[in-house]
Amino acid sequence: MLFVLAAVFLSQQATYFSGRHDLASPAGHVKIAAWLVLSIVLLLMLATGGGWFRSAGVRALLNDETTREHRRAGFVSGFWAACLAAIVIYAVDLFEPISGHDTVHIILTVAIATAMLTFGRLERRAHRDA
Amino acid sequence: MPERLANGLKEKRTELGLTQAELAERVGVTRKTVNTVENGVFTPSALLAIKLARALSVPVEKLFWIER
Repeated sequence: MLFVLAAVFLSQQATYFSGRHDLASPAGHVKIAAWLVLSIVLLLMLATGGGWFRSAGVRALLNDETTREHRRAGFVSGFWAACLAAIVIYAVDLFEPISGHDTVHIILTVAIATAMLTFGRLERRAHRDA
Repeated sequence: MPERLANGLKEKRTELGLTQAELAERVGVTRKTVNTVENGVFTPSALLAIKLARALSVPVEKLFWIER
């Protein structure tokens, strides 16, 4: 599930960067809004563990110690990926100016995607062993 | 040589005839957690270690020990 969401999230970025020239158009606004909504949903899922439509007991069970540890590891790798992305953007900007808008987009995307993929990989491994 | 927390969870659990799912239910965690603790993939918190020991009716130091 998480891998699918991460794949959808990342593929969405391909359309964003391939059609950057028309971002000021209504279609561009829709693209940006879709990215922003998906980013917020994914961040909330990562932060809370999801399962919003399940009972509190089931949510607590799903959010047990290993899940919390995997999520923590995901956030840590997301943080480092964001820092690394910021450094790379800073270096690239010396030669090729990058807008503030694009900078935010890239850093947020890299951070969320890395956190999700790390979390998903750890969860998959734990389930596979089970 | 790094230290690691080893455990006799699998031995004790099978001795009592419990499945991972049954032990997980007793402790209030998922089977994934019991499995990863058994395999040494995940180091449990003191809270979970005590809960597991209590569920298996053994002192926690008999269930978990430090391995060098």
